[in-house]
Amino acid sequence: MIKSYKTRRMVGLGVVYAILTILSIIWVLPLVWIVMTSFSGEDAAFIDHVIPSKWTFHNYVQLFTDKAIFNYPRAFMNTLIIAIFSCIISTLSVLMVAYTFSRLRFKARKAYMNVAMILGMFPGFMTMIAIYYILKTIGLSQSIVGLIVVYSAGASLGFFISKGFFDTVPKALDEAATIDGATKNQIFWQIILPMAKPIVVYTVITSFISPWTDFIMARMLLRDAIDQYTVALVLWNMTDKEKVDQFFYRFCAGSVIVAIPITAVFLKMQKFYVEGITGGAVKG
Amino acid sequence: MFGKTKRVAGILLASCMIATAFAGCGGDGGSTTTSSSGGGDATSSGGTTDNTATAVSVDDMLKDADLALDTEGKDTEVKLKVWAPADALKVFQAQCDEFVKSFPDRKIKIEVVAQGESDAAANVMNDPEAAADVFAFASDQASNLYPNAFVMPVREDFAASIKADNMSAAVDVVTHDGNIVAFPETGDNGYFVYYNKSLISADEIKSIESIMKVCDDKDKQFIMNLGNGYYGCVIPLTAGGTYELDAEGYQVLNYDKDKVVKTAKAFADVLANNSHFSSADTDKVLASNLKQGKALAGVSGTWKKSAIEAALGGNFACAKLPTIKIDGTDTDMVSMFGYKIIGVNSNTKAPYTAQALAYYLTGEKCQTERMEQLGWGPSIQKLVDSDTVKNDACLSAVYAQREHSVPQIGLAGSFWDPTGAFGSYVVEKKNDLSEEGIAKAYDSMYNNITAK
Amino acid sequence: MNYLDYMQLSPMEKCAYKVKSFFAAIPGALAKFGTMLKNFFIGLFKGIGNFFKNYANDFKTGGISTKLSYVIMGAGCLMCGQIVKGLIFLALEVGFIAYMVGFGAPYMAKFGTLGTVTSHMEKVPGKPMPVRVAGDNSMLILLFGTLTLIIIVIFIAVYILNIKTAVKCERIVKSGSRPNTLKEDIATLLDEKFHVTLLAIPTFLVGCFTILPLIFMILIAFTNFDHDHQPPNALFTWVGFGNFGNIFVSNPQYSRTFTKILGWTFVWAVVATFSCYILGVIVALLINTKGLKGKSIFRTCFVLSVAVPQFVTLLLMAQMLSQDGVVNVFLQNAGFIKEPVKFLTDQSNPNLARITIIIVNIWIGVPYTILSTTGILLNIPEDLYESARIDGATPVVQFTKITLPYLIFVTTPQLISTFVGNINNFNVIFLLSGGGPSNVHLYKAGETDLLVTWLYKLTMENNDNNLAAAIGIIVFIISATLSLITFNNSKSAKDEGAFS
Repeated sequence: MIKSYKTRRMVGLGVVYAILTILSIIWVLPLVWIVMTSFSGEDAAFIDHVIPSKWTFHNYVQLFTDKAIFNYPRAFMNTLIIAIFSCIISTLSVLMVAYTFSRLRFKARKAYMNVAMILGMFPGFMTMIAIYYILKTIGLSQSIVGLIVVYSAGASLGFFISKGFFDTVPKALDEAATIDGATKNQIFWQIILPMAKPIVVYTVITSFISPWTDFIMARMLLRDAIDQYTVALVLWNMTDKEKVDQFFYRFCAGSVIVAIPITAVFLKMQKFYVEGITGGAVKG
Repeated sequence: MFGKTKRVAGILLASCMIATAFAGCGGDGGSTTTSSSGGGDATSSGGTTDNTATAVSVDDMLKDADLALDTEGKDTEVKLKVWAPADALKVFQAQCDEFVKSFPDRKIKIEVVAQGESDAAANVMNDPEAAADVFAFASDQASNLYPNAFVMPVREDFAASIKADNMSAAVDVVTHDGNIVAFPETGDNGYFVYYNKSLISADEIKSIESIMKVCDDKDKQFIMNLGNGYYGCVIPLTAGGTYELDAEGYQVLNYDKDKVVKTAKAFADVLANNSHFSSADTDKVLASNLKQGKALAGVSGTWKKSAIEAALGGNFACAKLPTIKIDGTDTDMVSMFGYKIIGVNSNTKAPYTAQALAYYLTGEKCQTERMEQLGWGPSIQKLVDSDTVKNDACLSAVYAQREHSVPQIGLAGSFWDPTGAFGSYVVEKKNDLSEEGIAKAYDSMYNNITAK
Repeated sequence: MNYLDYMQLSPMEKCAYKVKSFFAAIPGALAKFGTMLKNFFIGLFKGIGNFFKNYANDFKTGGISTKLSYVIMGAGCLMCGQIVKGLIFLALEVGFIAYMVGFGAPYMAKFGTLGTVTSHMEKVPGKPMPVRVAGDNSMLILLFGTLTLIIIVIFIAVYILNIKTAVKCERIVKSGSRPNTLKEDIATLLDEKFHVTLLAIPTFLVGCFTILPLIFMILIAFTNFDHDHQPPNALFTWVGFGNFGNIFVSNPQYSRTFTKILGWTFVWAVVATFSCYILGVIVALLINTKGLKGKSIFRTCFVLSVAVPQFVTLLLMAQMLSQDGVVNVFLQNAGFIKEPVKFLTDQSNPNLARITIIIVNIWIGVPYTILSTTGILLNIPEDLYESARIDGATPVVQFTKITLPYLIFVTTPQLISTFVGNINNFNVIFLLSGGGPSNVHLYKAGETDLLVTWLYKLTMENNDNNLAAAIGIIVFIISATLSLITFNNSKSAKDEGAFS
C-alpha cells in the first residue's frame, strides 16, 4: 500500500516534471529565439530555416553606429532620462498620495478617493489629443520634458496598491510617534517610508519600466521630433512594413538591449513586485 | 549662386531680361537683378505680377527675390520645416541649402526632418500648425488633403509652368476643382517586375505564361501580392476598368463585369494551380527570396530598388509587368500608378517662401539630382524622355509600365480590401474558380467597394 | 450568505451563486451610482444655498475687514496682520481678473458657438497669392473655454476661502487673541494640514493632465469634430447627443461596427481573463507540487516573459506569426503544412486571428497569474486537502472542489479588475494584429479590434474625434459599472468602511 502510494507519487511527480519542462520551453523559446536572431549574420531578413547559418555581432554594432535612419543610442539615452525623472516624480507622488489616504483624515477624503477611482476608469488615451494641445500651449509638446510631465502627472492616480500596503502598517506606530511629539511630516518620512520598502521598490520598478514600454503617448506627443524619440518608438518604427526587411535583425538586437537591464532589475526585485501586486490585490 | 560667380552675372542679367520679357512680367528686369543682389523695392514687383496666368519658370523665380518671396525674410528670419523620407534626407537638405543660397539678401532657414510619405498626410491633418511647411506625400493621400484645404493652392504663375512641363497624369493628380493645388515630385510610384537575369531571360519575362514555365523548370518562385488591393487591382484594370469618386466621396467603379470575370479566369488558370506562384507580401520578402535564390522574379516598386539591387548584384534586372493570354491574345497587364507630390501646408507662416521652395524642389534641376542620386523617376516630361531614364533598368521599366496604367487618384478607402480579397480569391486553388464562382466573388467585391 | 454557507454549496451551485449575485448586483450598483450622483448634486446645491445664506449673513454681521474682503480679497488677512497670506489672496484676485480680461473672456464668449469665422484665403490685389485669414479655432475655443470654466470654479472656491478666513480672523482678533503667524501656518501644513501639502502637487498635475483633458474630451462627444471638421481649417460645433444616436441607431455603418466590436470585446475579455487565470493557477499548482525540485528554475522560466517589456514580446510575436515568420517556416520545414498559415491576417477565417491572439495572450498572461496566486495557494488550509484525500478525492476533484472555489472567492476583485483591464487591453491587439484582418463592412475597424483600439484608430488615423470620445464614454460606463460592483462586493470596501 505504502509502496504503491510511493510509486504513484513518483510517477505523478515525473508527469509534473515533464509537463513543466515542456511548458517552460514554450515560454522561454521565443525569448531564446530573439536573442539568437539578434546575432544572426544572414543577409536576408526572411529565411527558410529557423536557426541562422551565420553568426555575427554586427547587428549590435550597426545599431549603435548607423544612426542615419534610426538613432538608437540617442533614443536609449532619451528613454533613460525620461525613466529616471518620471520614476522619481511618480514614486514620490504615489507614496505621498497613498500615505495621505491611508493615514490622514480630512473632510473631502472619501470624495477625493472616489474621484480618483472614477478618473482611473476612463480609457487613458481618450485624452491624448487634449493633453497634446495643453502641452503645446505651454511649449512642451514634441519634447521629452513633456513626456516626463505626462508620465508623472497621471501616476498618482495609481495609488490604490500602495495605500493597501500602508493600511497594513500598524497604526500604533504613528500613535506612539505622535505621543513623542512627531509631526505628520516626520512620521511620513522617518517611520512609514522606511517600513514600506517593498512598496517603494514596487513603485520604483513599475514607474521606471513604463517609459520603456509605452509608445502610444510618445508617438502622439513627439510626432516628427525624431531626436526626441524613445526606444519603444524606434523599435516600433523598425517593424514598419517598409523597413522591417532591412531592420529586422537590428530590431532584435535593440529589443535584447532594452530587455536585459529591465529583466535583471525585475528578477532581482521579483519578491517586492509580487508583494506589491498580491498585497494590492488582496487588500484593495 | 549669384554671389559665387560674378562673371556670369551679366549673362544671367541678360537671360533674365529676355525671360521676363517673354513672360510678360513687366519691364523691370533691371530692378529684379538689383533686388536679388541686395536691396530692391517691393512695390514695383507687386505691380509686375498682376498678370498672373503667365508661366514663371524655376530659373526666373530664383533670379527675382521679390517675385519669389515677396517681402518674406527681409526683416525677420523665415523658418521652414520640410518633411522628406529618411533615405532622401541628405539630398533634400542639400537642395534646400542651395535654395537658400539663391537668395543671399534674405534670411531663410530650412530644416529637413525625416517623415515617411505615407504618414505625412495623417500628421498634417492631426495638427497642421506643428506639421511641416513643405511636405512630400503620395498621391493616394490627395483625396484626404485636398477637400479640406490642408494644402495651399499653387500660385497661378507657377501653376501655368507646372501644367506645361509635367506629364499630364502627374498634373491630374495635383488638380482639385480645376486648380493646381500641389507640386508633382516624381512620376515613378508604380510597380513592375524585378527579376534575376541569370535565371530568366528578358524575352521570357515578357509574358506570365513563359515566366511560370521557367519557374516550373527551375523550381523557383514568382511573387506578386495579389491579395493586396494595390497589386490585386491589376485584374480589374487589365480588363479595362477605371474608378472615380462621386460627389459625396463614394467610390464609383467603371468595371465591365464579363470582362473582369474573364480576365480573372485567365489569371486563375495560369496562377492558381501553380505551386511556384506566391502571393506573399512582396514588399517584405522579395529581396530576401531573390537573394536566397528561392524566387526568380517578383512584382514591387522603386521603393524596394536599393534592397533588391543589393540582393541580386550583377543579376539585377527589371521589366514592365508581363502580358497574359486572354481569349488567345496576349494582353498587357494594367497597373495602378501613383505619383509623389509636394504640398505646401496652408497654415504656413511664410507662404511665398514655402511655395517658392516647393516649386524649386520639384523643378527640373532638383528632379534631375534626385533621379541621379536616389534613382527617383521624374515627373517632368522632358526628363522622362531623357537618356538617363532610358539607360536605367529600373526607371525604364517604370515608365514602360506607366504606358499601361491608371493613375492612383479618385480612390475611396473602401477600394483596397475588397479588391485584395478578390485578388487572393482568384489565385487560391481551393476556391470555386469556375466563371460562376468568380462572378460571385466579383459581385461581393463590387458591392463592398460601392456600399454606402 | 456567509463564507461557511457558501463553502457548503456544490461547485455548480457556487458558480450559479456567483453569476446570480453578479447580475443581481448590477441594478444595485447602478442605483448606487445614481444615489451617488443625486447626493452629489443635492450636496452641491445645498452648499451653494448655504453659501449664499452665509454670504449675506457674514456681510451683515462682519466688521470692516470682513466687508472689505468681499471686494478686495485678502483685506481681512492684511488687516489682521497676516501680511503674506493677504498678499497671496490679493495676487490671486489680480491674477484672475487679468486672466479673464486678457485670455479667458474672449474664449468664453465663443463657447456657445465654438466659433463663427472660418479660416479662408483672401485675394490681395496686386499680389500673386491669396493671403490666409485666420478664423476661429473651435478646438482652442473649446479647450480654453473649459480651462476658463475650471479656473472660475477654483476662483470661487478661493474667494469663499478668503471670506471664511476674514471672518475667522476677525473673530480671533475680537476675542483678544492673535491670528496665526506665517511660520505657524507653515507648521500646520506639515502637521494637522499635512494632507494639503501632500496632495497639492499631485492634485494640480492630475487636474491639468487628467481632469481638464477629460472634461474636454467628454465635451467633444457632443460636437461634430470629425474628419470633415478639422480645425484650424474648418469649424465644428455642438450637436447634442447626435454622435450617440449615430453609434446606436441612425448610422447603420457605425452601429453595425459598434455592435460587432462590442460583442468581440466582451468575448475577448471573458476568454482572455479566464484562460489566463485558470491555466495560470494550474501551472502555479504544478510548480508548488510537493517534492518537486527546481521550483525556482521553473518559476524563473515563466517570470522571464513578464520581465521582458510587453511591447517587445508582442512585436516579436507579430513578426514570428507573420506569413513569412519563423513559425510558418518551422511548420513548413517540419512538413506539417504546405502553404504558410495567415495566423493574423486571414480574412476568410477571422476566428483564426482571434484564437491566435488569445493563445499569445495566454503566453503573456499566465506568468502574471502565477506571480499573483502563488502566495494565496500556499494559504489554503492544508486540512481541507487532507480530508479530501481521505475521502479518496483525485487531484482533479481537489482542484475543482477546493482550490478553484477558494481562489475565486479570494480573488474575485482582482479577477474583475483584470476583466476591466482586458476590455481596455490596447497593447495586445494593436501590436499583434493591429485590429486585422480587415473587414470591409466595418467602419475603420478590423475583425479583432476592441472598442479601445477602434477609438485609437478613429482619432489617430481618421480624425473622427467625436465618435472616439463617445466610444470612450461608453467604455467608461461599462468599466465603471463593473468596477463599482466589484468595489461594493469586495472585502476591502467593507474593511475601508470599518477602518475609517
